[in-house]
Amino acid sequence: MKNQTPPLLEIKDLKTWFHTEDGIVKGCDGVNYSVNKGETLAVVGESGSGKSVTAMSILGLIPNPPGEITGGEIIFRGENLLEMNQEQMQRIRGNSIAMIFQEPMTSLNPVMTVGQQIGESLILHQGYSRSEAKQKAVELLGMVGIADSRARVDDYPHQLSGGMRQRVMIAIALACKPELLIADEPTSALDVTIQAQILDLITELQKKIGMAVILITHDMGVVAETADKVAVMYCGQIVEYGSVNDIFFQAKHPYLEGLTNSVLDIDEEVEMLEVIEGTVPDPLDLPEGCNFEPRCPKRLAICKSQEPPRTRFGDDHYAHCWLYSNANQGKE
Amino acid sequence: MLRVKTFYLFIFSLALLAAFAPRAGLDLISYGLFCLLTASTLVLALAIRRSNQRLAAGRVKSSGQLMWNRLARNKNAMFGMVVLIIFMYAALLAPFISPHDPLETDWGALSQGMSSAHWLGTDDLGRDIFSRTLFGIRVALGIGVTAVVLNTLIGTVLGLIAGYYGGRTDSLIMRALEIWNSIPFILLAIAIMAALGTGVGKLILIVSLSNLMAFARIIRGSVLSVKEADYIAAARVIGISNPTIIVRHIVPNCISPILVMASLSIGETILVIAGLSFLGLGIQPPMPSLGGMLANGQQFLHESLLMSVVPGVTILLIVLSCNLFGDGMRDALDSRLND
Repeated sequence: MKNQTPPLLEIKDLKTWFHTEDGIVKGCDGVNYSVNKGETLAVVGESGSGKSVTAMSILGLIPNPPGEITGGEIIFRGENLLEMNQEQMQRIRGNSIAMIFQEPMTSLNPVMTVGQQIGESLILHQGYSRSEAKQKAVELLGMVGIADSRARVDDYPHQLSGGMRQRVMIAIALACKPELLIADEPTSALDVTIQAQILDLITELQKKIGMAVILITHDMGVVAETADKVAVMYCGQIVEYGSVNDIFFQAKHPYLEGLTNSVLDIDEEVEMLEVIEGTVPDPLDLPEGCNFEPRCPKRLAICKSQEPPRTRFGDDHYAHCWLYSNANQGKE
Repeated sequence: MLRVKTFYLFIFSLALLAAFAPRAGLDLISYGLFCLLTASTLVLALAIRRSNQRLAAGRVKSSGQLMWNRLARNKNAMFGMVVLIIFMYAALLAPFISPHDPLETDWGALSQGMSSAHWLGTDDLGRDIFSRTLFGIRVALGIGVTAVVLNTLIGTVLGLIAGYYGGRTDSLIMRALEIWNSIPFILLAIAIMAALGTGVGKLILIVSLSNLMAFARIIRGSVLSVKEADYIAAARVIGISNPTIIVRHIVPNCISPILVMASLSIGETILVIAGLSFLGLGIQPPMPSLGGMLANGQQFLHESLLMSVVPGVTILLIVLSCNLFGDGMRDALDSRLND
């Protein structure tokens, strides 16, 4: 495990801050994670926890101003994406790293045919001609499971259903056979049966092409089904990181425990769902010590004043929490 | 139905083209332009035929077809379109169809009423009013359309840049346009004419620069809403550069306000040019212009009503048709957004 090939993507201590009129919002504050070739990393967390900000940082699409990447490194295939210029980034976007959005209804240009939109990145990155791109688009539409793809390629987005549009989005993302696919809540806007189909499709194509997937979601069920590794984010920070098994069966951080407890068990009858007390703190006014301290059922005295250190439980499993820190145990 | 109509228009143009071929030497530019017009009716007829075949093959109607259907149902817009097409033909063919030279004076027939020699009478210098009106339409439409095209291009580019890039670029462009817009138009026209002299080119320049603000503002507004759309983010994610995003993704989604603005402002521009000519700032005599004819005619209201009525009614018809057509365009394009 120790001396394997370097990961495809490695994010080190990434800090993306937004300078707003009311102060600095730390959209992502010291995030670390890595994805290997062919692997699926799920990033979970509630709205505003920095999942999407991290993804947009990878693609270099943080609007500046107000956003700014103030520190850290994003190493992709051994190169730091943050040091690349616009032109180099444009060559990577859509070609080596692709992204699928949450909202298939609005992510397609209403005045262009589906085929044109799929062909766009092929013409741009792979030097296809228009007719070749259209051929390839038909092929891709077939691959993502759209029936009668030869006729559908000339359709406009409004002629397609939500699930079909998301399939088209996947076809666009996969057109150039990217090494990394970032799927930002790809199934949130779809109904449950379509959700399962889309997830199956992504995993199937992932195996076919051998790409890595970063799956951003807040659905723990989706995570359990598809992910190899999981990063749990809270207020712009990763609170726990580990394999799926670690996360579901060896959860260390109280936030993650709370999350897992609040998922309904189908075999048990419960009167009231378990919830995590309180609400997410104002991003402009984060607590001084651990961000989760005000809501934490297991808080210690030290949590209020100092940021929790990283504690490792295995090669790839760690949490940021005072509960497990040696320093803390020494003090007690 | 429609295919037949456009196709007949093409046959009609072709026939005219053949009829005037011997006299093409009179005005080669007009003849060339008319050839272009004829060719474009053919292209249009073929395009309509192809899209009808697609429809027959069971394909869904494209947004362009839906738009056309709505436009065709609108009787006012159709009236405007037909009148405009007639005027367009008259304007292009003026050198060939006008019975007299518009500058030729007939001292034997001053301020006459309608007659077989002078269909709409003559003016105070014995010039044929019908011929002068034909050439006046030609000047009005020519300058009007050129000015609006220029106006639309400049205004759209400024609005696109301001809206898309935002921030300091936006403020710079919009503030500059606001300052420009605060200069009274007539004063500006007089100042420029005084400094540079009069002429058709300068007239086009003044008119096309006068209305920039309205265009830039409307385009900027729709760019602001379009650029936040997810598909623009998606385009950025696949690595498309900013200029390409503007041309391929933003412009097609902002095209309806541009079209509506342009078709509505043609009428307005023609009115402005007529107004300037009326004041003596626009087209200079002896070149025929509708505004100039009107100004001339008001001195002879008692002797010869035709001298003012003919150019006046022509201006009215052109502007009315432009506005009706523009309104129809707006309705047709707006409801596209609703369904």
